[in-house]
Amino acid sequence: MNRKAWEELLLLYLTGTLSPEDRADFERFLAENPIHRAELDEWRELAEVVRTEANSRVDQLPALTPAFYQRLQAQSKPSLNGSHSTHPQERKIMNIAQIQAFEPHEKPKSSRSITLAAALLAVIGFASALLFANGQRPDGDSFLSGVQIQSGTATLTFTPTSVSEAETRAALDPIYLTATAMVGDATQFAAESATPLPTFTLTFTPTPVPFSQTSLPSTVEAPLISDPVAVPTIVPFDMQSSTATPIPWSADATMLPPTIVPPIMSITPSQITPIISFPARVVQEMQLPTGDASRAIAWSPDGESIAVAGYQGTWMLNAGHISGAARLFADNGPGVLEIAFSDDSALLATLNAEQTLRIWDVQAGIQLAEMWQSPLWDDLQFSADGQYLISKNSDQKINLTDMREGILNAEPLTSADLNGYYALLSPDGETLAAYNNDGSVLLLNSETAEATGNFDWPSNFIRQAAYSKDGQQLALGGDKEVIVVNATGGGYQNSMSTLGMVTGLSFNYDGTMLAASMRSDKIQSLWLMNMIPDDTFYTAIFVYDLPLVNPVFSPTGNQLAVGTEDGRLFILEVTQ
Amino acid sequence: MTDPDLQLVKAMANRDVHALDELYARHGRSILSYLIGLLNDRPLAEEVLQDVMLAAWRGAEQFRGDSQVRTWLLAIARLQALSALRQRKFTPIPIADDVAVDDTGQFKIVEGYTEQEMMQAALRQLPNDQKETLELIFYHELSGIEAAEILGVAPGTVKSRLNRAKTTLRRLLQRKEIDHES
Repeated sequence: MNRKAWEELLLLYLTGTLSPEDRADFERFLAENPIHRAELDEWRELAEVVRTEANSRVDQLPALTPAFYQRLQAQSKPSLNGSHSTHPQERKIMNIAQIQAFEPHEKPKSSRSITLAAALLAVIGFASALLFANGQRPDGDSFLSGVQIQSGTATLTFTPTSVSEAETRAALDPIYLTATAMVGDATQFAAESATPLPTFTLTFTPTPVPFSQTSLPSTVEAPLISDPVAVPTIVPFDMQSSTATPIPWSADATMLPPTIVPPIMSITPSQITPIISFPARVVQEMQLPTGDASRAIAWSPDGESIAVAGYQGTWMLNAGHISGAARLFADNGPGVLEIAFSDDSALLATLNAEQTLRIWDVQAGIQLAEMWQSPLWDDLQFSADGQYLISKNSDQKINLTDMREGILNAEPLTSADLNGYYALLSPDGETLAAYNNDGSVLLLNSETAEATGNFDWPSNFIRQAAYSKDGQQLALGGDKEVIVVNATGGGYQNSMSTLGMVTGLSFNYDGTMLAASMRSDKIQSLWLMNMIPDDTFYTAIFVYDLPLVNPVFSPTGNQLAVGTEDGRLFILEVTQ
Repeated sequence: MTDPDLQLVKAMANRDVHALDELYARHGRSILSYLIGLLNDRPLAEEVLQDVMLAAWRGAEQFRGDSQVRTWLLAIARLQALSALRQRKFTPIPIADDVAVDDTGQFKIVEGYTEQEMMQAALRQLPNDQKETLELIFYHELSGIEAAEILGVAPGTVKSRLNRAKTTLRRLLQRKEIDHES
């Protein structure tokens, strides 16, 4: 029996899931193999310790509290009225009716309900403002009214009454999710759920826009409460002071991940504590000066500098001491979106949201060239020899611009018409890997644009891609998975399920580790995939309340830089 | 084999409170232990346990019996615990009192333990994902596939976590023995 087969059978044996025949075979094998028997004994000893430890935690099971039964009773009202149903559509109606039929009761003494109430209050405040602004009077006893069923979707008109009622109702999950749906768009949550959930639509009626928050949806969808699912995140935010400006990606909207303009948080950055898990630990941390927010990170190939793109320009940090003095390469546009170092670390390319491309001398800190181009640019990347700047335009062409010819006058050296593709240059500069939103990857000769190969990752919108430093591995990140393939032949090597859309990928210096940041409604996380043969695993190493900015491994070691949308930068040391 | 808890869940779907009480009596203790392991906060775990039972009550109608009831309850517990952790604004889970972390990030064991206690202390030093996997397999007696479903990972990951946990424990205990000898 080889090692792999032994481990498979051992696990099945230990968990009692072997068939009687297989179990007998396995025990005969054990009787003849003392080494394996000793290993089994070791596992049994461990199992016993685990059981003892888990048992020791609970001496006595606490009784369910009266407040619990009160909540239970509130949940049970429909059936008490004889309207119990198992049909999804009817159940939907039933739950809405349940919300309407609710009679206020004493607020449960729960720390959670207080938190929920706080979140709800912000919503109520806003909704009330909307309604009163239009001369509507809150509807006496009916907290929610105007229920309609339209093509499987229930539309609710939200009419709050008073703060005290809101507080009471916040103790109930249906109201909680109603509130959540209004605070944060829960559509994606419903889509991500393992079990398809019925959804309902909340409509602010009427929907004036009294503040500058023009992007606030007037109608949002949320899962209807009938499943034991984790609730989406409550994100309280300050409507009045919101100054978020949508990023003008509209000309290229079909190509880009959804534009996410984070709300202004009512909590200050210092209150957010990340969860950091083994095998990572924080070795450095800093906050961008003057309240700037990070949007992209690049680590110079010589390892000396870290550039962070912000709204005020590009911050140049000493990688060995990031909390020391920072240099700002000021940008008079509405923030820098993309940054890239040349291979000799001498040049930095920056692209701002007004599509102004600038080339900087890193040491001198001066701007060497500037170019404004339409159609839009993004995805900046220098070739390994610093000769070319690779970019993708919104006219769906991938351009290699010859830097030696002078950026202002250069014409694209190679222009491949690749509708819907992004491109990534291999470390040796010879191959362009172009990937698109239907999961196909084309390998092109970077000088001639001739296709040299292709492979498919069917039904996956490829959001991110990264080469390993030796050019042998190519990582692709989608909405639910990361895969690592052979960069020349496309053969599968590794994969990892993700918690949401992949927003960044980076290999470490020797290609044995891959970092992936991901974003979902529920969690913002950074994961590590360890690809050492016989020790392959993946694990979350960093979790934060706000979206993460692309992780970047240091060019020579196992340090990993990751930014947050509230302007913090963490350097993690990752052990293997 | 028919899940003996299935009838209770069906009764709960018909709003039989006694069935819920019975289910709580059968599984409350192990679910609470699981929650304490995840949250490292007994009062919070007790509060979340009530949320778990309420969620089970709400979801009973939709439970199709594709998994064991016990597995379903554990899955609910995990989701509720993660939700509770988010409510706490990601306060790091404190390490048990009898474990310390040195400057290098390595764990060390407080002196004066029996062999069994040393083993338990070492167990508490494991990374959370490994510890949780061990418990799901050996305490809650789930299969590798069931544990993988709850954890949201591939079955192979469960196996690798178990092996890594054992390797780490062995290393910790060996080091402790060396410390004793020196």
